[in-house]
Amino acid sequence: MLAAQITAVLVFVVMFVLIVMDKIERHYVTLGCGALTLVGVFGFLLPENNLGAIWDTLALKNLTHLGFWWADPSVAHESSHGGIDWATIIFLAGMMIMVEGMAKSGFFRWICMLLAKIVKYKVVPLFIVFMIMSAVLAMFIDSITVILFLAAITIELAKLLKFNPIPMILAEIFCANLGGSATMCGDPPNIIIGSAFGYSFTDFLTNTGVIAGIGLVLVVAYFYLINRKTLKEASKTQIDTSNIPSPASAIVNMKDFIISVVIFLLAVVLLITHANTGLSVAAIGLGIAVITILTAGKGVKEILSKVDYKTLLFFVGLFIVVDGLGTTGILEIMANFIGQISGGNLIVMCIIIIWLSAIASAFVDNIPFAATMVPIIASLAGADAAMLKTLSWSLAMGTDIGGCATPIGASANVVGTSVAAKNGYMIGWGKYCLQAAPATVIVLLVSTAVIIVRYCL
Amino acid sequence: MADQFIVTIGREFGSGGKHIGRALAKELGVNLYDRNIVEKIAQELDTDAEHLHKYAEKKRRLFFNRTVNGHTTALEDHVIEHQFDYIRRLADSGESFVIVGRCAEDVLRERKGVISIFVKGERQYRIGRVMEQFELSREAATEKMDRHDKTRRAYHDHYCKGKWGDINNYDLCIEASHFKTAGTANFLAEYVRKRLG
Repeated sequence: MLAAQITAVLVFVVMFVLIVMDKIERHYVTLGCGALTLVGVFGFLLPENNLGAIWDTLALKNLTHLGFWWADPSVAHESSHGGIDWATIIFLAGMMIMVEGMAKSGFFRWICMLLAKIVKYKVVPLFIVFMIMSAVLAMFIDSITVILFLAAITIELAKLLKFNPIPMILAEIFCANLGGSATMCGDPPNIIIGSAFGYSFTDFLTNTGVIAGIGLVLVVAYFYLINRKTLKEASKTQIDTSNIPSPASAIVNMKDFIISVVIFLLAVVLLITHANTGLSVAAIGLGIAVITILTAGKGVKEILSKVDYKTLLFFVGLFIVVDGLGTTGILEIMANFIGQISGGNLIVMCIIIIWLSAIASAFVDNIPFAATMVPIIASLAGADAAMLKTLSWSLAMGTDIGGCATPIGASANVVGTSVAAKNGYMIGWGKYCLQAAPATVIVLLVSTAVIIVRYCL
Repeated sequence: MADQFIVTIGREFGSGGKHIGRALAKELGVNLYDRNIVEKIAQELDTDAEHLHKYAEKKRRLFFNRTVNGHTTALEDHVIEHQFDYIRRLADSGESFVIVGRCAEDVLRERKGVISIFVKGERQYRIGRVMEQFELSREAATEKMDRHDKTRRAYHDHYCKGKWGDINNYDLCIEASHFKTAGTANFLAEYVRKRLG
């Protein structure tokens, strides 16, 4: 078993280093390392049941279980955190297809231009409204898409209204990550956690959602205060707003627009009610994808071609590598280590998980980190469901918010800074961290305080 | 020379490649593009050129960058993309020009009328020029020269298919110390004219 453990750890470390180096596309990295885990660790080095371990890790049999798609809401859900998490992957794929349909119809541009018009293109209200919109949209839609559109429109408006868009883009990025932490579908770590432990949309909204809500109020105030001089200066400029395109001009095709909005609202309703309907996130993702495809007409090819298959493949490889650590007992060793350091004290465990996750997520992709930590917190909590929930919210807030601190911490940060750079606004590490790192610390402190007061005392 | 021609000049630090490029452009009656490309890009983007210069002609760091769906945090990559795009648009416009650095020989490799040149210089000749130009001691000039060459090579080889200073990557490699700046520029002008018939 020792050889299997060493190999599993080596493969995991190599995967992390290669992801951080960013030389090879990350889906190739995880798929390559996943293949090494399947063949090397499970195929040759496990002392027994090699084929069984491979089959369990691939987790294909889960897809044929009724419980994977629908579970009786009156029966408690069993935790499942081993092998490829197909529920997460199918849900993400479904949401990607839906979002592509929305983008194609002009929805995101329309909503941005509409809100800008409502606040009469005034810079300070625009700054605040775009922050809030970023958080609200990211609760239901992946933060990459939210920022891709929001940053582009912010730059377009900045050029027309003559203000520096960098503070606004940084604030929007932060709020997208913060909004994502509020719901189960907002950020990939939450989907992984929710899917592994059978938590509902409402579970997240009433726990991480509350923390995110408090955080949003503080963060809006923080970003306004540190940028107030620049914003007020920009507000003084008299600008002719008649050249600004109308919101209606953003709508590419009214029929597609209405359909995409209806599908989006349907997805929101299904997610909010899934604890009552018993539909799993996989079923919702698949259903939404099918409806989008069926209603897309000739646009199907374009929508499907824009789906981010690389991220889905990245997840497949990642889950295999993490399962290599789980099957060989490494994650249990790590859980025992955290248990020993904390002396079994829940408050200490929460603090370790929140801040360890946050620091790690600031520098490495938070998705592999969350996937690794899920079995660890399951092991720490054992049969204690209340403790598992507390640790889950700690992990969710740590990974979701920690990623806000640096330009590489979360996907939205990368996309937002890249859109800015493509338009000539260079946001380096210094500029980014100067604004985002203090905001990250503020929200992490709020998270720590709320979690301790609400669940540990 | 009615047809479009583009002369790209790669150069070792201290060889005088920039000055040779300037003299060559004057001799041929065309515009010279070098660092000024960054200023022109900044003008187009309505941004501060200094922000772009900070990341121009540098290779991205090995760590602390991340790529998501074709978007990257490496600002060096963005600046070079802006430059490549600008160079391609210049070439598309039909203008004839001389361009120094910017990986231009690689960006324009497949185009007609492109003449790629690499200007090298004997080591002591280059050290002498750097000492004189920057008013440095021999030691400081040598250190500066080696540092710039290292950065240039790393930057070029990261973003281009061909290798910096490799004879296979250029139409002509020339030793600048023989004819000095003006003589080399005259020699190259003659070469360009003969190449274009």
